[in-house]
Amino acid sequence: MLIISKKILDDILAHSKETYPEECCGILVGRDEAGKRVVTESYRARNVSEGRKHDRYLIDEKKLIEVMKATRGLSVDVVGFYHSHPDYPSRPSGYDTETAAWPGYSYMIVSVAKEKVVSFQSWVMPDGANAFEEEPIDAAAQHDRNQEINIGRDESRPYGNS
Amino acid sequence: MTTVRIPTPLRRFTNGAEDVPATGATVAEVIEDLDRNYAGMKARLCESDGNVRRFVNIYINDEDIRFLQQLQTPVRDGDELSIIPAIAGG
Repeated sequence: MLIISKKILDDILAHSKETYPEECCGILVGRDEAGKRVVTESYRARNVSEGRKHDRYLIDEKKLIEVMKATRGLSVDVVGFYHSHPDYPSRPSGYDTETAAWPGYSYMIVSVAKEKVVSFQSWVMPDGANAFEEEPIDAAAQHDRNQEINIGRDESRPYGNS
Repeated sequence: MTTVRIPTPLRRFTNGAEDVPATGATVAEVIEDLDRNYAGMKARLCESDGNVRRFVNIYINDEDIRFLQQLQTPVRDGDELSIIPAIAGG
């Protein structure tokens, strides 16, 4: 279970919309509590993928190092990452699975179409597995967001390929 | 003695430790020493041919070893070796 506040979620969703039609990416910081993962901060990172930012992302490692250093010795740590899927569902693409997702991190994906958020989900790669498993997102936050998403959602928008 | 910074996913090898000491005159030797103390670590960092995995970045202090001498980069007493995951996808 990934627990994320509305404030943090709003920033991730805003980031996803702002970068459309390119993918955005960022870093999730938080802590594990009794089997649940609580996100306490998110940090926007540059997508430094060369050439294909509409369907590829690469987190700027300088930003990741900065965030990892900032959490040293604290009770929080880097617990995962987020990225957006412009015109593609919020499930991992083939490329997401191929690019060696690290077991132990949460990978949140936001689906954006026509600069509107369609859905968001979180995924984990179990150790030794070669496919992602969905990680539920805190129900209260999900409920609030789904209400907002549905208001602005364009159901006619078909997804492209990623 | 080198301090090795361990990212969250690899801390299950180090009993949860955020950083661990290791010895070695080069990055390759430090990784060997890590693997002696925390079995399985080398396989997470290196391919079977010994090269660093594609989605692993290794820094000595603030320098990426790709721009130094890769695994043969010298490590000095007091240096800090950081394992940084490369996070990418589509």
